[in-house]
Amino acid sequence: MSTFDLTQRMAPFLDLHLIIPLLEFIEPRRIYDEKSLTEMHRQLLSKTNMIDSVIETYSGKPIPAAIENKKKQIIKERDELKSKVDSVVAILEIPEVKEMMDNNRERDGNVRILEHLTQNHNFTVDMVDTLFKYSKFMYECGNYTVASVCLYYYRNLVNQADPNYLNALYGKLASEILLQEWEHARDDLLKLRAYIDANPFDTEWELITQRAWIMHWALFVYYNYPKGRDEIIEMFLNQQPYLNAIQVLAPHLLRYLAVAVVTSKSRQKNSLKDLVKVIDIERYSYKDPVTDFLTCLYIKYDFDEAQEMLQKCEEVLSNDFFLTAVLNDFRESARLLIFEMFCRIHQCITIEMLARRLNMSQEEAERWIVDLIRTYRIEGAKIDSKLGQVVMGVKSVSIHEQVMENTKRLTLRAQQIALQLEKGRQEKTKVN
Amino acid sequence: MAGPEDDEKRVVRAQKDKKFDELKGIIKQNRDAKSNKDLNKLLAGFDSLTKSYEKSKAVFQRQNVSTPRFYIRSLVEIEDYVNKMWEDKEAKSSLSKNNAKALPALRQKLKKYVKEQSLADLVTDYRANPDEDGYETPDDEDDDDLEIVPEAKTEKSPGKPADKVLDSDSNSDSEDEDSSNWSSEPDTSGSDSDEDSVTKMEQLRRYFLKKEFREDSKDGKKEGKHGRQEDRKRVIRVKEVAEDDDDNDWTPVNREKSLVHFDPKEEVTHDVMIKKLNEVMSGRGKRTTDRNQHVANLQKLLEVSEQKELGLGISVKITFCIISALFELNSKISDFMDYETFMNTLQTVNQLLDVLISSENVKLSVTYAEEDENLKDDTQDYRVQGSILIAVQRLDAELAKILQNADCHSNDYIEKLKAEKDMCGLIEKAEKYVELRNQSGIFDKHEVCKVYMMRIGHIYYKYKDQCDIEGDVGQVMDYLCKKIYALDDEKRLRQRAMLCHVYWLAVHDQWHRARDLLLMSHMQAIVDHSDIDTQILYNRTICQLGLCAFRHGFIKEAHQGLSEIQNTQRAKELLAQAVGTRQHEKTPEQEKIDRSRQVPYHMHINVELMECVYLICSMLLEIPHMASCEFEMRRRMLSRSFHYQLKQSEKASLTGPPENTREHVVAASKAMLNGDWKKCQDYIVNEKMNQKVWNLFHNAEPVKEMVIRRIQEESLRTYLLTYSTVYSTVSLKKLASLFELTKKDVHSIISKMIIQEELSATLDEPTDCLIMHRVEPSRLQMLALNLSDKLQTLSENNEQILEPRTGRGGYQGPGSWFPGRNERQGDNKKGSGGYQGERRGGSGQDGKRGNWGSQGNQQRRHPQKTRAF
Repeated sequence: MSTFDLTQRMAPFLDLHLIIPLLEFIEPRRIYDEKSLTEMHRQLLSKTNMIDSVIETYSGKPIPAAIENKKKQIIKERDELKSKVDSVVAILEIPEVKEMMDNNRERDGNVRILEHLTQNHNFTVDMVDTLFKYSKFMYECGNYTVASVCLYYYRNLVNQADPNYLNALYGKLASEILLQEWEHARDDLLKLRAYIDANPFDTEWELITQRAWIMHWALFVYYNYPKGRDEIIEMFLNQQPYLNAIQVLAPHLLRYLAVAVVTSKSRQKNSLKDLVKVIDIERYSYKDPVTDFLTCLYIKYDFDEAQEMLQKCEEVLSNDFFLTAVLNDFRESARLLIFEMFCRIHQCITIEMLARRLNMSQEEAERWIVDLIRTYRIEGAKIDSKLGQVVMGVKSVSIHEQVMENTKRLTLRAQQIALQLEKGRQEKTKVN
Repeated sequence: MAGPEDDEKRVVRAQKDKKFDELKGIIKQNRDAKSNKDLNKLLAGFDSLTKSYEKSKAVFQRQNVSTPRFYIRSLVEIEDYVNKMWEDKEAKSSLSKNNAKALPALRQKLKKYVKEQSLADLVTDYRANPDEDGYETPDDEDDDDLEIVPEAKTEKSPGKPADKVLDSDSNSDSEDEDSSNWSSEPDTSGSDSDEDSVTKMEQLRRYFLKKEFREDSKDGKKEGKHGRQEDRKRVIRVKEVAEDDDDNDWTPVNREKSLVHFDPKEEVTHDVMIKKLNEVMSGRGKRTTDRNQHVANLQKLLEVSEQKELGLGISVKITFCIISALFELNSKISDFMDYETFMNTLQTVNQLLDVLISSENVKLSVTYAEEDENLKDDTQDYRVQGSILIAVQRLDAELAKILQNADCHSNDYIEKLKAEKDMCGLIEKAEKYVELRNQSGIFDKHEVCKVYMMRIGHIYYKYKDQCDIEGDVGQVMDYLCKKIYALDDEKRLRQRAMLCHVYWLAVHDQWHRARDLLLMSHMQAIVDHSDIDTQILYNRTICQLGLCAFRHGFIKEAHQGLSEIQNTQRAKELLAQAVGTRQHEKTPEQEKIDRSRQVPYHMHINVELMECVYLICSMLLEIPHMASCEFEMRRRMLSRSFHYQLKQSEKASLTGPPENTREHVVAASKAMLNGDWKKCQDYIVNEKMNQKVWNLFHNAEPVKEMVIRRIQEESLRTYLLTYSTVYSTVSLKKLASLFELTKKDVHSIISKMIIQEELSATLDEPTDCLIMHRVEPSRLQMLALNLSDKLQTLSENNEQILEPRTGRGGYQGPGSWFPGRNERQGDNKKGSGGYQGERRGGSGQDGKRGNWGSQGNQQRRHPQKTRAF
């Protein structure tokens, strides 16, 4: 059951707090040993400051004294930090300042606000650090709302060269993700990506690691966001550096990419080919039912196996934190892909065979096909109900048509060239 | 001759002699210049002659020596020569520009000089009484006498001989002079020569006698002082030898031997030892030093030092000297070491290494200057200058040379190859030593890299079982390579290590890793700019990788890898397994260099095997391709050399049964073209081929199965493509039974062909048969199609002219990642010599070389992963 579970492979790329929801998702599925999972969960929590959650895991059993002590300590620390930070927040929440921040533009490098604050409001540089510490602490305690607000302030005060800037970006993103504020999270993700793409790192290796991180984090956002799947394709597949990062560090992300491509309505056609290529290359280093499904369908042309894989996919998807929601979508799209393939290859298919291949009853299949033909206007496909067959219209292209097709485009291209030449000449005369 | 007097005189002589030697040297040069008619050089020579004479004058004056006669003679000679040239119009006009300029200048200078220095008298004097050519030697000698013995000198008769006992040193000088005269002026008159040879013989005798005498006196002195019996005995013996035999070999031997003697009374201390060592070492590299004797001397020193327990410092130093001396036993660089000497050296180095490993207080490093050496103070660390690692390296190079020069088909080669094992052991030991002492900072980073590289060099081409390394060889290889990746700054070793690693992985069938590593190294892009040895290694790696791909069934990749080399017709040369046949373009030096680059026989890649694999790959790719292009006007060839082979066999009027591997593949190809897979298989897999090809693989059976399976598949494809016009329907069942494939496989192959639009057909599921739609186009239609094709390329070309293709954004397909070798052909030609230049010669059509099939994006992975190491 756990063979295709990616939690373990993903964990190194995620923050502790982000792993918690994954663990919580996994627990009721019982694909891992329950005891070890609870223990794992507890260890994880104890690394954070979320003492109350740790205590919860003991669920009635006596709680070790050390934890009680830690709790007291944390509360003390919190109070200390809070007393320090209150004044800072007070300044920052003056309406005038707030307005400045909202209108702030990246380009200014946040210098202006800081200047303004130091001049008019007794603001010191130390305060910025306090703010960061406090937000980090609150984040550790699980108070993501406060953390996110504070980090928002922090980000607006500090310029990009600050060593904590990247941390702040990550922190903010994590907070938003954990608060499930997808719109905000998306904005933060874009900011973080822009920052990483500017490559402020010393080594290529660091850059690629950061990319791998951000891709994992992005899964939270994109799979919870209506158009997110298209954005996954855009980021993971169409951006070469990110695709490289996948290949080098995290080939398991191919599963998410594959699901995104298969389920995407608008991008599927163009991306599928590229995706299959990548999957083929990485086949030796990573494969799971999802990628295997595509391999069977597009490389091996083995429909029986594809069918088997599709069945396995359901299991995998339902046990995946990110993908469980898109299971139905995926199943539908995958079936469609299989059917499309059949249509391209066959002239005549029995519905019975199709139903078997698609995992449906015969009647269901017939209805489904009718639906398909209507919605996608599959050319020339007809159902012969009496024989229980789907018949494709033969659409062989005659040579005559081929020649026409080839030459038709030529006129257009020639015209374009002529236009361009004309344009070039005009520009030249203008210069002269 | 009394001792003190002798000493005094010797000092005087030395100074004067030095001057004389100098002058004589210049005169000799001038003579050479004259005989070469190089007036420019002569002019310069004349200048330096006068200058150095000017300098020596003070010395001569102090010694009351007048202008030496040989100097005057040389002036006269130059004058004569210049005048002769001056008058000879014809010769003058034929002079080069520079020389023509130099002639009047020289003439002018000479005149002026003679006048200024008031040498005119002497010159006329000399002219009046010139030395005859044959008379030269005694005359010279006389000159010497004259100068050496001031009391005998008379102002008025500089040229007159004076009888005096000669000093052997100056005498030997005159000997030299004499012989040089002889060589430069061979046209001495015949009548003189008899007389001359007599004088010469006499001279020789006298020379030895005198020398002996002097030696005697010297030794006598010693004897007198120290009373050494042995010495005396030897001297007497030597005398005897000298008397009945004037073979002059004995002198240096005697001298050398005496060098190693220690005075028994005097305690052999460090200082004495060091002094002695320096004395011995000063003879190093001199022409007179017998190299064998030199080694023996050093060995004796070592013995003594060990007897007297002078400490490790000294013995390490001496051992190191011995090692260098052993290396120098052979003077010529290109020559290879004697096998015996090699083993000897190997042992010495091994011993030294043992000493170094076991005793921590001895530090041998190149970073110490000679003054910093500490050979005696055992309270501190011993510091010795030198590098054991370089010695090991050199030894390694020598072994390669020995193997290169041995006859690879003889037992001798095998015998010598045994040394390779010892060498491996030594290198391993050196590596251990490096790792043990790396902290102490005595190694140069580069040296350390080299040691790792050497180890890699001995491992990378061997199959696992052949290396006797404990543990996992793969891990060792990994470890070594990573060391180099981390340490090496100047890329070259890193590249080489990476190539070796790829090679090793390829040999061990780790195809994916090997491929990824190669792609990440970006070697394809930079190999043209690397040195030739690296290019050779690259070629070897590519071939090995190709073979590996073949074993894994990646036919396309294998074909690509092997075609780089196989398409050129000179695979052996590119792999440095044979020297190129087109020798006429090469100078002897180039040829020599080429030869020195040859890979030793035991590292060779089997070229015949490679060719066969390449042809099989070509067959599997090309035959279906040919079938599908039957109606197209211009066919694209995937592999030129394969087509060449096919054509050759078509030309043959009578085809007998195939004999060599090549013919087998060609015959198989023909069978496949007819769709007869069984015959094709029989040609590829049979006893003969087993012996020549398949048994050479480590895992022959799976490879054979793979090949047969591929033959079935490709035959099916060819069959369908060829006969698609004949059939209107084919049952899948029949196809399956015809090609002995499962129905599922047939289905999947056909599906693939339909999707890729190779075959215009559809399947009919209920009846399980294939319905062909292909209609044979009429001639007109075909022409129309071709026309439209051409129009398309035309417009594409136009577009490109107008707007050179810039980088297309987003995902780039394969083939766009590097400018491609073809574009850099220009700088290839000049730079890389014979190992790259014509590589693309046979394969102009495949623009996507260097990337393995469809892994375009893989290649971009490189920078990232390298950092990871």
